[in-house]
Amino acid sequence: MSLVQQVVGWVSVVQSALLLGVLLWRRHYLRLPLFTMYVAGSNAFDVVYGLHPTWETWMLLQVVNAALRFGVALELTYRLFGAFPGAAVTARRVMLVILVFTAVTAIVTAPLDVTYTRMHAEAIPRMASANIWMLTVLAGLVLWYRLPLAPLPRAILMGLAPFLLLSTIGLSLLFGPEASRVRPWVGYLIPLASFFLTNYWLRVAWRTAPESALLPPPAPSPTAPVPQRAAP
Amino acid sequence: MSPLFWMMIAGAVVSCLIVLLLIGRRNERLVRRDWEMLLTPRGEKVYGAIEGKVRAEIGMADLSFEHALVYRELGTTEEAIRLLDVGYRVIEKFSPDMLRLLAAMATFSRMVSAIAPVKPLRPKNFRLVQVSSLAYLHGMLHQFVVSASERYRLKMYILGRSFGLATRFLLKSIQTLGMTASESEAKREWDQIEAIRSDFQTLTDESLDSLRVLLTAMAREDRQDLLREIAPR
Repeated sequence: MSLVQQVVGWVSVVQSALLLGVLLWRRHYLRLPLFTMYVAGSNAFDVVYGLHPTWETWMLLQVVNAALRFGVALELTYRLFGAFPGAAVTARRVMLVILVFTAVTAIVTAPLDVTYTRMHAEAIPRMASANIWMLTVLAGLVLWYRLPLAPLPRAILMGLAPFLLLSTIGLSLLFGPEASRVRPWVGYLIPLASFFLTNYWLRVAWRTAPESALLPPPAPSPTAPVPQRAAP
Repeated sequence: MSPLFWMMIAGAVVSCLIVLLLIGRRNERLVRRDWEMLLTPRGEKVYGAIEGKVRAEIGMADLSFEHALVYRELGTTEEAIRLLDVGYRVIEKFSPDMLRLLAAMATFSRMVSAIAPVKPLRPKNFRLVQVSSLAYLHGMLHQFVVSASERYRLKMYILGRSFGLATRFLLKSIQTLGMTASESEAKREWDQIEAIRSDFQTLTDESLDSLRVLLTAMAREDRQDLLREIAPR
């Protein structure tokens, strides 16, 4: 790793730690526990990778991150559609189709002589691709049903999908014929994208937490009158 | 990586960017305000105001028709027809407002589809054959359309058409009665007016019920959780 990469990496670690602090301090973790876990988990792995910058550590980090991002997508589904059962049914069905399609294509397109390591490595972009589709579908359904979005879930939706697109394309290029040529660029691009994304989330989490997490429950309101036939 | 994977990525790039662009351009405050209207006591106030107005107008027309029937039984046909005309004028004024309300409700159909199922009209609740036929048609089409939002929009459309149909038949009956019809013809028209009167009530009830579903369906769900989500920042 070059010095610049190391600097960007450590700045990202500090920023992620700050984000984790804000999520806990502003009590966002009550509403988005898996997202908080994702931030904490990826931060812990970043630290491990900073101290142990090997290919194996990096692969492990990517696999765990991909799994945690799946959790974040599922949490967003629950959070955005939890109060809307009709829309939630549609969201669940589409999620299932995406997951099944991803699993089937991964199995069907895998070569017969594939090694365990190669399979492992290819799983990361596939999981990320499925994740992108999940987030895109979530965003599409939010638009279709005109569902309200709280600032932090909105920021996660707006930020995670483009970041995943960028990192998936970058990671996939690492397995192509031009891998050696693109590797340094991917090494810069992904940490930089991660830096900007964390910065965006940090700002949103800091600004919106007091209202969204500490809002008192609304006072019970009288039920709407039941329409009656007018007396003839 | 297989070509299929790269096709999926290309599709994801295009669709993701389009969707996120649309989300980014969306006015969250406006969306939240719409939901707030539906869910809070303010929404219930809106329902109360609309219901009060609709009930007052349909009640006024109904009163005129009732008095017309009484005068007819007493033998004062001219006065009865005059009262029918008064009732018709109220309906004539009421119908466009109702159609506007139904059209506005149809625009919110996606919100309803997110929260509540839509019930079709019941033909046996209507006395006018033509409106009852429309209700049958509605029942059939209801099975063919798939999404709840389409079903809601269909219901609003059928309600609108039924209001229009009932108003037209009312005008026709009043005109026939005004043209010194024979006794049997007059009786048939008075019976039809009775049927129209009943159908107006049913249509109004169905419309208000649909409005109530739109405004209060969320109350049955995790309301506090939702309010936390949509609370103005």
